Amino acid sequence: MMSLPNECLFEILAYLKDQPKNLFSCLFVNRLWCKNVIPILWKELDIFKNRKLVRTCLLTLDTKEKTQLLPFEIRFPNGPKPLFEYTTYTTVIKINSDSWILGDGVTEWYNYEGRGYNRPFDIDVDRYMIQAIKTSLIMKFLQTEKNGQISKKISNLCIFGGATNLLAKILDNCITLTSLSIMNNWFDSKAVEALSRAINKNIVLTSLELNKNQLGLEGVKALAEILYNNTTLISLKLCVNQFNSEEEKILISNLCKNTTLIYLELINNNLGSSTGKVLAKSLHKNITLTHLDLSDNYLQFEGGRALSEALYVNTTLTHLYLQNNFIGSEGGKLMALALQKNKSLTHLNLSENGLGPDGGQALADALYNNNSLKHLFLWKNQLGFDGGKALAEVLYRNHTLTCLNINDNQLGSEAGQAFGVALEVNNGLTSLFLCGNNLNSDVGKILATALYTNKTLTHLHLGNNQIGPEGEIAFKFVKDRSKNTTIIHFELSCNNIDDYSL
Amino acid sequence: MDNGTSNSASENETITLKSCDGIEFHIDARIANRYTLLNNWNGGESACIPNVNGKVLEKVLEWCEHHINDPQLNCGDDDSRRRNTIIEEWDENFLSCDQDMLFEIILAANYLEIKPLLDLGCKTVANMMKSKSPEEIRSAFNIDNDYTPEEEEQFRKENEWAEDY
Repeated sequence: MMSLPNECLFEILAYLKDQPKNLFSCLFVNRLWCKNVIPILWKELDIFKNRKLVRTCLLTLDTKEKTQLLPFEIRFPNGPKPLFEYTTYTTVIKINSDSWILGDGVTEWYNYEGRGYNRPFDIDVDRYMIQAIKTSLIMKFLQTEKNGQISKKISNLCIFGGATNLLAKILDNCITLTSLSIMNNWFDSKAVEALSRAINKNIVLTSLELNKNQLGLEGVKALAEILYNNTTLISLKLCVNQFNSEEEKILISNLCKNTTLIYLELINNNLGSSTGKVLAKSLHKNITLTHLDLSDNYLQFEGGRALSEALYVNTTLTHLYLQNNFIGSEGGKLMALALQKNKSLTHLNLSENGLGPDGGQALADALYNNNSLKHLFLWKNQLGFDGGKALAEVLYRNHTLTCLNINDNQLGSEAGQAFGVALEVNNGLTSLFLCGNNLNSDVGKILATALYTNKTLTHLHLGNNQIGPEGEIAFKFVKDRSKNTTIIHFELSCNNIDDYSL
Repeated sequence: MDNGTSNSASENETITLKSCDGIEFHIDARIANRYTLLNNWNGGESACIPNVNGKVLEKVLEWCEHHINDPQLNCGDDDSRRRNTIIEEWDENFLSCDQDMLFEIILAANYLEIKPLLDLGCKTVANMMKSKSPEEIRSAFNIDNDYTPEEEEQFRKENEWAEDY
C-alpha cells in the first residue's frame, strides 16, 4: 500500500478542523500524524471551553508565569512538561465567559481541583481566583514571543461576555490582530480607553465587531473617534447596541466620514429614518462600501426613500439588506424605480417590509430593465397573487437573477403555476424559494414538468405548502428518470406528505 | 465571476498530453486553459508528464472533463474552503475506487495543481477517517504505531479535552 506525502496528509487532516473528536483519534495513529494534528487541533480555541483544556494550558505555564499566581495559593495540576508548546499554535482565540450558571472551564477546573484542600468555599474569593487564572491564561495565549523570537501571530480574537475586568488588559496585548470581536460586554472607562489605544496602535486590524455591548456615551464617543481616524478597518459590525439618540448621532456622523470600510452591519439598533437619511446621503459620495446591512431597524418610508435616492448615484454598493424596516409599499416602489437605473447592486433584501402587491409589481417591472441584480429577498411581504404573478412573468425576460426568495407571501396556487410556466423559459435562476404560499398539488406537477426543460435551477424550496403526495410523486419522477441533471435539491417539508427532502 | 467558458479556447480545439508511460490523450483545450500546469505539457510528441501514469492521468482527465463548465471559484482562504465537507454524488462515485488509486489521484492533483480535485480527494480521505478509532484508522491506511505507551498516555491526558469539545 502506498503512503501520502506529508503535505497531503496535512491537507487531509485540515478538513477535520472543526471536528476535535475526530482529530483526537487521528492524534494517536502515530507520531507523524500527531505532528500534523496538533497545529490544527490547537489553532482555533475556545480557551475556557472545559476543565481538561484549562488543565493542559496551566501545565504550559513556565515558572515565571506561575509566580504571578503563587500568592493566590492555587493548587496547580501535577504533571510533566507538556510534549508540545500547545499555546503557540493558537492564532484564533475565543473567550466565552458568559456562562456564569453552568460555569466556564476555568470555574469548573477551579472547583474540581484548583481550590486546594483547606480553602473554604467563598464566592468572592473564588471569583477573584478565577479571574486571576483567566488573566494568566489569556496572557499566555496572547504571547507572541518565545525567548525573544516571534513564535506566532494572533489573528482573531473573539470575546463573548463577562470579561469587563479583563478587557483593558487583553486589549493592551493584542496588536497583531486582524479581527477583533467583543460581544455581550459592558465597557468600563478603562476598557474604552484600552480599546482606543489598541485600535490606534494596531495597524493590521481590518475587522471589528462590537455586538450586544453596553458601550455607554463615553464608549460611543471613543468609537466614533476611532472610526474617524482609522484607515485600516474594512469590516465593521455594530449590531444590537440600542444606542440612544445622542450616541446614534455622534456615531453615524463620524461613521459617514470613514473612507475605508467595505462591509458595514448595523443590524437591530433602533435606527430611525433620520439616521437612514444621513447614511443615505453619505452613500452619494462613498466609493468603498460594498455591503450595507441595516436590517431590523426603523428606517420607515423616509429612510427607504433616502436610500433609494442614493442608489441612483452610488456605483459601489453591491449588497443592501433592509429587512424589517417598515419601508412599506410606497417605499418599495421608490426602491424599484431606483433599480431601473442602478447597475451595481447584486443583492437586495427587502423582506418583512409590508411591500404588498403594488410593491411586488413595481419590483417586477424594475427587473425588466435591471441586469445586475442576482439575489432578491422578499419574504413576508404580503405580495399576494398580483405581486407573485408579476414576479413570475418577469422571469421570461430577466435571466440575471439567480436567487429569488418569496417565501410566506400568500401567493396562492395560480401565481405558483405562473412560476412553473416561467421556469420552462428562464435560464438564470438557480434557487427559488416558494415556501409557505398555499401552493397545491397542481403547482407541484407544473413545477416538476418545468424541470424537464429547465437546465439551471439547482434548489427549489417548497416547504410548508399543500403539494401533497401527488406533487411529490411528480418530483420523484423527475429525479428518478434523471431527466433533469441540474436540480440537486428539492425541499418539500410540511406538505401533507411525510417530511421529505428529495 | 468567470464561468470558465468565456476563455479564449474554443470547443473544438484539442491539445495532446502524454503520460509518463507514453500513453497519449487528446483533450479539450479548455481544460488546459483552466489548469495552467497542463498547458506546459501540451504537444505530447516529445514532452510527457513525469510521475503520472496513463491509468491515473485518464482518471484525472475524466474528472476535469466532467467539471469543465464549473464556475471557477476564487475559493478564498483555506479555512473557509475546508468548512465545506459535502461531496456531490458524481464525485463520490468517481472517487469510490480502490485506495491506491484514490491516493494516486490525490498525488497527481497535487502535482498538476488541480486544486479542486486535490480538495475533493482530501475531503474524501478525511471523511473516511470520521468516527474511527486510532486502531481502525491504522488498519484502514496500513500504518504502524510508533508511540511508546508512556508517550501515548501523556498525549491522551494533554488532549483529552478535545473528546468533550
